[in-house]
Amino acid sequence: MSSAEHSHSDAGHGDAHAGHGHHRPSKHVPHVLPLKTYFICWGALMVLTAITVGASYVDFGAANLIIAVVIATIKASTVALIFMHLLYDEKFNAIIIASSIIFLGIFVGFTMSDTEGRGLGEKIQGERPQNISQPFERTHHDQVLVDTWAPKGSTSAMTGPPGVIPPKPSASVDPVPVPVPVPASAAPSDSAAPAPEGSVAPAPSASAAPSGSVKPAPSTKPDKNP
Amino acid sequence: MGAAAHDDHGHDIPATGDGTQFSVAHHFDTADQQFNSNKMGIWLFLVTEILFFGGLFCAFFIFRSWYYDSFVEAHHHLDRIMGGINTLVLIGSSLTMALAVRAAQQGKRQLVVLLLAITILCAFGFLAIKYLEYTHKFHDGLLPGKYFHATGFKSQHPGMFFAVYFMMTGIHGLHVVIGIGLITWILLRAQNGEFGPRYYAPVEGVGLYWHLVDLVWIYLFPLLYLVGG
Amino acid sequence: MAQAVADHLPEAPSGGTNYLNAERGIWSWLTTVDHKRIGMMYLTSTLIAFGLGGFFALALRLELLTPRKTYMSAQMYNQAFTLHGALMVFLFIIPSIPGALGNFLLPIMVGAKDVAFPKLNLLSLYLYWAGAICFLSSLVLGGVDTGWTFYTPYSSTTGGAVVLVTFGAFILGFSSILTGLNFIVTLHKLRAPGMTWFKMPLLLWAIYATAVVQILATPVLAITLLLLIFERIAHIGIFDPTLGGDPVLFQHFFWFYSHPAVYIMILPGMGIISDVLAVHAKRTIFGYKAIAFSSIAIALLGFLVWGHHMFVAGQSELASTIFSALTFLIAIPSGIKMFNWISTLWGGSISYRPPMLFVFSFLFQFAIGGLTGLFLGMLGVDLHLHDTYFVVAHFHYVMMGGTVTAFVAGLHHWWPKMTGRMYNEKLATVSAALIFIGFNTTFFTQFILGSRGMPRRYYNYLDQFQPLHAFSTVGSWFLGVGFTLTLYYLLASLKNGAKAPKNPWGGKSLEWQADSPPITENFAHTPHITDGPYDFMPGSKH
Repeated sequence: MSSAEHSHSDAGHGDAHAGHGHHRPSKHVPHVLPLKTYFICWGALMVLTAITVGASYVDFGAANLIIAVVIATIKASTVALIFMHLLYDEKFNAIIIASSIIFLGIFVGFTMSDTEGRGLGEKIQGERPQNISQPFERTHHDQVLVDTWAPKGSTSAMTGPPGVIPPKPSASVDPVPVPVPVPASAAPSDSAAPAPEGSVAPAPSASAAPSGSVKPAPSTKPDKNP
Repeated sequence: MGAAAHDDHGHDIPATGDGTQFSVAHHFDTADQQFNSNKMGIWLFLVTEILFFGGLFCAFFIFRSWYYDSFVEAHHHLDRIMGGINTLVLIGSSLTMALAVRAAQQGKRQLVVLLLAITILCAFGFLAIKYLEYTHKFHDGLLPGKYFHATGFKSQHPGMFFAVYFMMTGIHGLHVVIGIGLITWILLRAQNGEFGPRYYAPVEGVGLYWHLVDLVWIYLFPLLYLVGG
Repeated sequence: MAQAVADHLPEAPSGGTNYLNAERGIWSWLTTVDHKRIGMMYLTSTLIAFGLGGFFALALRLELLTPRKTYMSAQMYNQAFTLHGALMVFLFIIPSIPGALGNFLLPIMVGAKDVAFPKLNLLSLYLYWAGAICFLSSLVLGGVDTGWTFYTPYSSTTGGAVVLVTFGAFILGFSSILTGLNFIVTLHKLRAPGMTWFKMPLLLWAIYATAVVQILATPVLAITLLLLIFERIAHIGIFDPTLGGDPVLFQHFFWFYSHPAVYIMILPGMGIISDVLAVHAKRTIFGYKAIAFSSIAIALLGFLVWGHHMFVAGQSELASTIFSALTFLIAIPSGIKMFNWISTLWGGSISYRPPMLFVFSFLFQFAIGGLTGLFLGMLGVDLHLHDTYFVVAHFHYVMMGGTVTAFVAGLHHWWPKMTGRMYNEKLATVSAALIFIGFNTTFFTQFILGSRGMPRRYYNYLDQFQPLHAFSTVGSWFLGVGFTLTLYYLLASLKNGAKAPKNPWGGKSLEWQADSPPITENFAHTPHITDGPYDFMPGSKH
């Protein structure tokens, strides 16, 4: 906004100094696109909007998000390349805008490496043997919730974000077993450990929170998968 | 140098209504240099806009991943017809904006004014529909965070969805309002005949800003209104 | 050597018209679009902020003289360290070098008449003032006790003028963005004929890298602070765990800006060192391209390491491990700079005039500050040192021992160019010594305190820490005296300093071809550059 304003105010300014060119004629020649290009673009955007609305009535499962983002990206690229003239502009402007996408990716990606990975340490900690001289006997998990610990399938301790901040620092090498929350209701699930953004993994909020948690226990009624 | 030194400039050239009274600012050598500098400045500004919205997108993806069921349940309370119409309205306004830039490049003064006026109308239409949606949400208690008091939800955190929804659409709406102001400003200048084939940088700059507002909505619409189960 | 610029006043470098006396009156300053005047106003403003921040620092150190209450209340102590941090970071370090020296020097160094968007530049200064007013008015409107980091959930629940200060930081962010935007476009579009990228002084590469960070990171701070404001006034819950939000997410948002912001602070300082050091060693800078690209590398890598502020905040172990590993990468470009500076000194004819003395302080202190950063980047070590005085000492070594020292070096180096006056070099030498002694006394002690377990931001402490705390407090008095002395002789030089020649240090970059102080349009004719900024020895090329 301010930049736009500026391009105006600057242009209105004359040269108050001596010795420099006054009233140089503008040599800028605009690059005018044919009218057809604009309308084809607009038509494509309308069609893509229709497609993305139509696709929302069909459940593609995990692909829902991907399809929506891909269509949106095609639309956005159309607007950027044609309406915003990026295709015909200085290449550096394309680099500028690409850099914003890259750094946005870094921002979201690294942040989600945290939010999707919380509790990973507790799981690893839980799998360590209580007594190092008997590596195949009892793990830390066994002591906490022997009955419900399912070695395979249960990933809820890894994916559950709201309740997994342990009362102790997870990197602690404290000999006292770290209580690891494993929800009694945790059913085997097909969710990959660090769930990719927007996956249709079962609601992580279904995992119970440990009592000392910073967060409140989120689920008496766990979110249900549709 | 003071303001007075500038203000008496340009009076020796009559306003012909095709942008010829424009002259290159003192610290630029050519009009092309100035035009490209302005444009690069706008693009850099758009980068800051993208990262500004990026924070909200980041929050959206995280909470969607955590509270997937809440997000699915809550998003059914958005009106995808209204959202869809708003998408078409914004895309239409993007077209008229792009055509306005083209008309400015060709020096068609009346056409520029007409197209900009249509763009402003579209923007007001967008806001009107947004207003209807908002009042509906307010009425139903579909509010962010602490003030969420709608009943009948099976999932735990629908308030988080509406927190993200209202922040994203609210800030986007604010950008639409600012856009209306900017387009009005260049409309008035176009009316004055300040733009022509040699000088249309402000039209182009505001146009780029307006397209970005459209771009953000192109992502907001499917993510908030459509993606779910 | 850069093409000599024809000058119609060869014998009177500062006798004729220049940017300072071209127009008179306060109004001519407030409405100016001249980058040099804007730079001088930035300089004055940031120095006032530095004085205020320094006053709070001395007050804090005085309170810490004794283990229990010395003279201020605990609440007052919290507000004082918050304002000390917020003033120093947002009102001094971030805007000081780009806003003051960058604004003044950048267009001159590339042979331009002004920055690309002069009015935007003025707007940036006004935004800075608006932000400063928000900060300072919080003093009388309830104070802020969150620390400069505004961590949730404390900042969303505590009383006081948090919204006001947050809004101030939000505005200052826009000021910073506009400055960065202006510099990038100026460097791309307004370089004089012959001024290729690799003929630019290294300060400009550093400022370019800084501007990239300002553009890419600052908007995220804006949205973070906006969300915090909404959290406080509308309870939207994004950072509130009771509503399903995540307070750690605030830290991600905050540090995605504020870690790169650390490089916004240090990179221009490194640029100053490259220039001042080469001029006062009379030697072509060693490894020009390596220093230039290491600035860019630091700027980009700086975006990948923010999580090292959150090792004990409940961040996932996966993220912590990645961030820790990436943190060490920063040491590579920083090391490249350090070694190249030292190589430049080798065989140079070094003059020990005041700017160079500050450069030596910088090299010593930045080495310590940088290396202790590696300790903190290690996961296991950080568990022990996190939130102790070790961290306080580390970032003061980088920020104050590094950036502020570089800023003072640059100020002494370009003061004759900016004001047209020479200062008292004897007093400057004394002041450099006082600051060096005071700084290291104050902060090296804090490394020891921290490694022994003294937590930061504590009002009271165990009796066993008192000797070290007292030692640190005494050091802060040396610092205070040193900076007051600096202020005195710089101000005195304006009144009765000797007129500065065009090129008092024998520099080769373009700004030394301009008058001292420069004329309003910088050069009477657009300069054409043929040689590099560091061509000190006959026939030497980089």
